[in-house]
Parts: sequence; structure tokens; C-alpha cells
Amino acid sequence: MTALIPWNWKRHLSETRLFDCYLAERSGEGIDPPAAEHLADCRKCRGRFVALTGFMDDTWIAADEETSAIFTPDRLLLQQHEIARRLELMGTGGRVLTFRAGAESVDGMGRLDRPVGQTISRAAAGWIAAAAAAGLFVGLGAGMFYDGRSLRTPTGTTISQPPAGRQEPTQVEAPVAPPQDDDSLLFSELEAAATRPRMPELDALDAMTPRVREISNRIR
Amino acid sequence: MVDPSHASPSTESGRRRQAPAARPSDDTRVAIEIRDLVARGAMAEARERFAELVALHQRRAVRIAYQYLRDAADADEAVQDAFLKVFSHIGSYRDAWPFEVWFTRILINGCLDRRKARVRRDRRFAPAEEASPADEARPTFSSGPPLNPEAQLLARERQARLAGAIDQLDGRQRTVFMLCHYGDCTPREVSAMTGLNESTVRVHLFRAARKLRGLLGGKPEKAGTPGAIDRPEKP
Repeated sequence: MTALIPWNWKRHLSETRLFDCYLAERSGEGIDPPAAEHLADCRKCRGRFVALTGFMDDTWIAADEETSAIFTPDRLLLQQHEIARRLELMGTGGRVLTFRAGAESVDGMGRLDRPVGQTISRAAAGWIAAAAAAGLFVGLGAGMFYDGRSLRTPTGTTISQPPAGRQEPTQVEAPVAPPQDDDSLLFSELEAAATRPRMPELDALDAMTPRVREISNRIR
Repeated sequence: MVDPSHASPSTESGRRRQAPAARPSDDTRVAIEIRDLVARGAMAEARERFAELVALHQRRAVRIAYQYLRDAADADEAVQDAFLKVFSHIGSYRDAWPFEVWFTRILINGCLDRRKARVRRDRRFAPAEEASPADEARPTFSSGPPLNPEAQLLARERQARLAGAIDQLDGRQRTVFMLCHYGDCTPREVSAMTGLNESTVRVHLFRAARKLRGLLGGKPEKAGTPGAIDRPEKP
């Protein structure tokens, strides 16, 4: 009795075999004859095959209908137009917009090297700070140099003494003013200079004497 | 432009495909013509012919891309980029491969790149938990009359479960399943696209389907015992 049973009746189709049957049927190749014969005769395997086919078809239909609901014919038509438009633009090179503040920072692909709005790079800012510091130091140095020269001038000037035997001019001592503010000191010095006796032979000597400013500096 | 509702008759008119021998590869022939036109410098005519290819493969491409990316805008861009890449590289197309295989390979590579980019992006930014207003507003899948709110909710839940189950697949399983099932490709074509052995493609596809059935309750599969699937059951 057992010998009369064909091979495909001995066992049910395995899951892989069933899946191959499903793939073959879906692609239109057709199920191989032994498996097709078994499916035709075995109710259990046919039920499994129908369940497998139903599950796979359900997932496909679900995905297709979901996609169709999103990508409607209008949207697909729009997509076709968009593809056609991009194809026409494909031959032409991209146009790079130049910006006044950062034209040099746009590379060949049209990308900005730095964020928009940042107009000074970090390197340039560093150079500017260094230049400002250097200028400050140079200014301070120059100021100290000129100031030192102006301070040294009265002390380095030698006042020549009048030659012996000559008449000593009337020395008018400059009034020693108490430390006052600059304006009152200046006016008192001017007043003293105006009351000073004027002698032509002493003009040269007078020219060599320190002026009001030097006196005021010396007083200080 | 070609009306998309009448496009791609080989895949859209019915679930079952024609036998490979009876399916003339019109798209491959058109692709070769476009390649020759581009080589001659007849770009306007090449673009015109290319619109036929776009219309022929658009719906299938959109279905693959959307199921892969689960984002309408991403899928839209991926499909557009794939078509543009095909046209710009049409000179390197060899007719040893069917155009469908070549195009799908380019599309899938683009989708994979986008998925990787999304993973990188999601590492930095928290992904949006809630669906976008556009996703909420779009109708759920149903070929019949408009569903009532309850049915729409159930259908949306089913979509989410299916998408979640597909997302749980291993990377290769997912790719093979997408290409074979949603892309309507045969295991041999998927083998040519992915470089995998055809028998390996069949194994990946089978395991993906078995896992999905287990996850979605299609049939209580004996998941976790791979050896059992090859062993025939005793009556």
C-alpha cells in the first residue's frame, strides 16, 4: 500500500517549498508539477498556501494603496514635471550669487564658508587687535620720549654768568609765588616780566634765559 | 507628460507579473535609444523619450521609496534624484542588465543613503514623535468608498503595524523584501541588483516573510527555529 503512494503524498510541502510555489506563481513561471499536484490534492497544504498567498498579497495591497493615497495621480504628474524641469536645468551650470560682504567666501559649489552675517573673519580680527595694541605702545613710547625731552631741556640749559667786572644788572627776583593754580601763576609771571627793566645789552642774555613755561616747570 | 494613472502597465494593472519570456523589455530598448540620442547630442529628443521611462517606472519607484523611507517628501526626492542620476549616467548603461534592474539599484542605493543620513540626523536631534499634519490628513489605504473614522483609525493602525514590522527586519532582509515584494522583482533580478546569490536572496525573502507573519499574526510561525522550516511536516 505504501509503495503505491506517490512521493509527494508522503510528506506535506515545507514552508520553503510553499514559498517557492508562491514566488513561482507570482512571477508567472508556474508552480513545478509535483508541488502543483500536491497542492491540488492535499487540502491542508492548499490551505497553508492560500494563507501564505493571502498574507503576502494583503501586505502588498496595503502598501500599494497607502502609497497611492499619498502619491495621487496629480502628485505624480507634478513629479514628472519637476523631473523634466530638473533635466532641462541639468546642462546649465549653477549660478553663484555674490554677496558684497562675503563674495570671496563663496566656493565653487555655491556654499558659504562662514555663517551669513559674520563679516570679519577671526584672522582679520586678530590682526586688527594686534595692530591696535602696537599702535598703543608706539603712542605711549613716543609720548614718553617727547615728554622726557621737554623735562630735560631746562635742567640741561646752562645759564651763563655775566662776565666779571661788568656792571651787574639789577636782578629782579621773580616773585616766588605760592603754589597756585596755573592761570594765576601765569599772570603773575607775565606781570613780573612786564615790570622787568629792559636793557638792550641784556637782550641776548635774556634770550638765553628760560621763559615762563620753563620757570613754571622749574617751580613745580 | 504621460498620465500616471495609465502608467506602468506591467506592474500596475495587476499583482501578478507576466512570465519573463513573454515580457518584452520595452524600457530597456527605450533606454538604449536614449543613450544613443545623448551620445549624438540630441538632448531634447532624449529628454522627451526619457519622460516615457519616467512614466513607466514612476509608481513602482514611488512605492519602493515610500515603503523604504516612510516619508513622502523623502520618497519624492529620492525618486527624482534616481531618475536624474539615471539620465546623467545613461552613457554608462549596458544593456546586459535590464533597465528596471539598473534603475532600481540606483533608487535603492539612494534610499539607503537617505536612511543612513536620517539615522545620523536622529542621533543629533530628537525625532518627531507625532505624525505631521499632512500624514494625519491623508486618507488611509482603501480601494473602496471613503472609510468612516473608526475604519480609518483601524487602517492607520494596521499601516503602522506593518511599517513597524518591516522596520524590525534585518537590513538585508528588508532590502530583499522591498525589492521582491514591493518592487515586483524576481529573486534573480534582486540578485543582480544586490550582488547576492539568488539562493541567498530566496532565503532572505523567506525569512523576512516568516518574521513578518509572526509579527503581524498572519500565522504563528515557529520563529527562532530556522531548521524547522526546511523540514517537511509529517501528515
